[in-house]
Amino acid sequence: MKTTHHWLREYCPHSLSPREVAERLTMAGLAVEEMRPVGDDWLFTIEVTSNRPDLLGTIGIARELSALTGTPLQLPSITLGEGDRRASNMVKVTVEDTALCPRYTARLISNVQVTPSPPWLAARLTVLGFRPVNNVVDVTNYVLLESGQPLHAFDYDRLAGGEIVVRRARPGESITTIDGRLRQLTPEMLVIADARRPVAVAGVMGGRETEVGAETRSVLLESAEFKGASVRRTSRALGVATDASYRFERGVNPVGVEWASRRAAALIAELAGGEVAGGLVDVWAAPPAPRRVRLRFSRLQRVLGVEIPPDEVRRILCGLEFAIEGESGGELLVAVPAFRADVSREIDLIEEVARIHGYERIPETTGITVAVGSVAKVERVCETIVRQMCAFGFHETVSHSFTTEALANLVSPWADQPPMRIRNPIRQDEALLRRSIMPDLLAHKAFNADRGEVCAELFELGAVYLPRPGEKLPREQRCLAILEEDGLLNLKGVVEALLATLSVLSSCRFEPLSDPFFRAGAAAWVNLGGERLGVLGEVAPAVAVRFGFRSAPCLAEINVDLLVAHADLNIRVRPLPIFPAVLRDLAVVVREDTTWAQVEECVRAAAGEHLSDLRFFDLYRGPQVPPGCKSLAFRLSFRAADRTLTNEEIDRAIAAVVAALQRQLQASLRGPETGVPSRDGDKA
Amino acid sequence: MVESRLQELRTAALAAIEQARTAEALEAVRIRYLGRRGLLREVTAALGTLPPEERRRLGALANSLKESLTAALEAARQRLAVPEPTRTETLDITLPGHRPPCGSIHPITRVMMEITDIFRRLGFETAFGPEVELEYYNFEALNIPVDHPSRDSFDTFYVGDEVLLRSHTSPVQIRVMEQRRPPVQVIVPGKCYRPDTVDARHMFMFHQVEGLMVGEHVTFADLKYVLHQFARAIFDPGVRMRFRPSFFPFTEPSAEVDISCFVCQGGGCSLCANSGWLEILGSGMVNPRVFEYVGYDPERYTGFAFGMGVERVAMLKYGISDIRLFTQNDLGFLRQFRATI
Repeated sequence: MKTTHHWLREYCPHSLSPREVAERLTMAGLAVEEMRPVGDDWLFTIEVTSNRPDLLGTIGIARELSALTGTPLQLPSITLGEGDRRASNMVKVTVEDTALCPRYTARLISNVQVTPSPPWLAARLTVLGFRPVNNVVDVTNYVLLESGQPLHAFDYDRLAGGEIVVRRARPGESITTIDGRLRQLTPEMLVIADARRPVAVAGVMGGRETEVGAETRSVLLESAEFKGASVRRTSRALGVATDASYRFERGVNPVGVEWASRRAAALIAELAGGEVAGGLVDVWAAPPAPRRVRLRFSRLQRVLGVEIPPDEVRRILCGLEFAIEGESGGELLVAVPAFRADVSREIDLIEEVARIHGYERIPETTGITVAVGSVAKVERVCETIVRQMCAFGFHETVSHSFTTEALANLVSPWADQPPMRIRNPIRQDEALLRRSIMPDLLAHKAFNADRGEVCAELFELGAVYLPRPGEKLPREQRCLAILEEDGLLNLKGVVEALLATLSVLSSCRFEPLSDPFFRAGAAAWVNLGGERLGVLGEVAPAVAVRFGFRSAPCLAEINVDLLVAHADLNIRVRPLPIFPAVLRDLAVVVREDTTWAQVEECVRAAAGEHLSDLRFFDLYRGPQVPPGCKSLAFRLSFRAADRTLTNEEIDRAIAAVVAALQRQLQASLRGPETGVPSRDGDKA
Repeated sequence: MVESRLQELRTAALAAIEQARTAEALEAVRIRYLGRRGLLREVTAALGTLPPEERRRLGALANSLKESLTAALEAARQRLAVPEPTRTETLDITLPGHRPPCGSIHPITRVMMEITDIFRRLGFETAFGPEVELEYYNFEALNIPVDHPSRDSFDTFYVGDEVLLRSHTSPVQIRVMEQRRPPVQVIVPGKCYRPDTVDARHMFMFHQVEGLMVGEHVTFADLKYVLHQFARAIFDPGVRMRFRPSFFPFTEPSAEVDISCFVCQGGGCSLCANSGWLEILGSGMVNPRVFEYVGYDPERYTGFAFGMGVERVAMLKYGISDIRLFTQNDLGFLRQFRATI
């Protein structure tokens, strides 16, 4: 909404400077977005919120200034000389759809001389961003900017039958609007028609055939109330928004319809000559019943947290043209003016009082009682994950939840249902909701590789969207995706360390996974009590090639919701051991297809009660190992809680382990016959 | 005779080696047993008088003893080895050290953690809600009717009939109030979506943190207190704050909240468009109509709500001028967000 300093002072002759006006209006909720000098005047651009259509005319803004400054509002006086001929004898108005058009008024002005507007009018419209057309059209625009009520002037002689019908458009009807465009109408749209055809799209735009031009002799001036929702739908359907539709969408004041009509008729008569026919053709069921709202002082204080003196409350409300009709027992009975359709409840009045009184005068005090909130487990787990991944050297990314067909179909570890599709995407090729974060990480790696970053170790914690048959909303599963460049065992190590941090690792088993996204034989899924906690693997060569990678990165994705359910964040300290551990290293030669898990299981079962730790430390294939075999080296730790173990006990345990490995896995010892206690650390 | 003498020597020498506590003492043991005039030499010198067969056999025994003692001495020497003399070469301390890899936490996460942490200290708990949301929660229950201009600021992605990507975190207010009775004191961090044309200030996916407090005595003064506490903590202890009346369908009275520009301290600069103020969030008292939707008695309860854009806060805090950087995931950008708290 645009207006000027001088124009505001015509209605509210306050003594504030333009800068003070901008400040006061902004702090009352009329944000002045811009103010700039225009000649000897100042132009204000004001952001008007959608609940305040009354501020879409300069008078409305002047009224706010009046309430803020105490300067009385002065409305222009209207002197309308009406002729003897009755308008109602010259034009017939029929409103077929009173729901969409509660009030329609028409006025007739005959024998006008359509000419360019006088300089003062043309100049003011120009400053406000309107192109001057002629004295009649310019008056309708001027009164719109003054009062907020849109008006339309028809060339009366071009209206077939001298008749106005407010109705829905008929199937197949069309109209050429004043912007010269032919527009197809539908029966959802309200139109103004004459006896034959639509002559205007109600509340949106007039028709070219009946517009006022140099030839016009008689003008039919329309001032009406069209319902906002209907105007909004029509405006959107036609793809045209106008100053009129903008105001109708927000709601015009049905009572103000008559004032605007009278004001415009008087100005037209003044500027274009002509004779105003007697009376107003007014199709209006009834004025709306005046709204009365009570305001309790106690409630005002309870919402705002400050006591505002009753005199100040009364002054504010009266300044905004609310009428106080009664007062008793600490409450006011307030009559709401017709132009304030946004006010219907006590809270609306509280807001009026608060914003004119000034939010800055409400103190910053609190009666909030101190209470320690709890931190949910999911938050603790997620924060642990983020900090731990960062400590492991990974960089966190944030990706769009939207993805392309190509990325969406690369991998879907959690669901077979096709991804959800956005009906109105910004980019047609990015219309799917992701079911996995892993493709996003590949895309980020590719993006960075193009910028010369050869190594991008990335992770992301976010939702994936898994459609559920028969449900409107998808399952939104929190996932952690990790991209690691140093091989699958390094990635597995990261996953294990994270799971160990959350005390979940010991319940997990890594089992082979077959998925074309991963290289065959280089992928696993994490089995947590039969549920899939995650997947990990080396990206398949075909996938790596599509992203232009020379070597295939490894990716993992973990179901964080499941992780949260099983995570244990509590720490219980075990007593430290009193007696020393005895360490023995063994290296065994086994067949290629024997897994470490098998060896581990066998060793644990055979080593006896004093085995306190078992660690793999080397995998070897080479000259000393027969073909088709491999050597696995590991360290056993033995410890008893109540004494130092003897060499004989350890030897017996080792012998049992060796025997079990031989019997169950056909393993043979390699290297020193019995493990010598070794002092060097784990060999990589 | 010789054999038993060799056996005696072995036992005595091993014991002496065992007992030596210094390198000097060990050397003395070596000289005593293995020296040119040592005890072993004494025994072997006598071998020449024996028959050849006997001499060969005992000679081998003596050799074996000599080897064992030599090995034992070597082992003992290592045991007693004094540390190597202090190294004298100079390390070029200007050479780069070997650094462990350092990761980073995304600026959006960082800011969300920081915001969450501040509100935790003020007694708020965190709540979450779905990003794919029902129209009812995104609009109707928040007093945003169909075909109303107040929807203009909430252009929305749809994925189905009455199913959309939430355009703000406010629907979680409704979900929380449907599940809990007052008092309620929560914040809601999360992703939101609006089909905005992408430029330096607009992105179709962004993050918000929503706040909601409901109780029997929650006032606008409490709202001002809480938000000013927050602004001081996240921006600057000296930050000033300004509440401007505004309109949101789900709060009344509503306020836009500005902070004093920390670049120009209110004097006017390009960051604040010469206004001296930076808009950071929207807020207000919960509209009684919203309470009616969730079955709270609006006479008994009052509350406040607020919502802020996380990108906006991050851009102000870190001096980021283009919102697109957040989802571009350029390592050069990400690395700058060190893991500080």
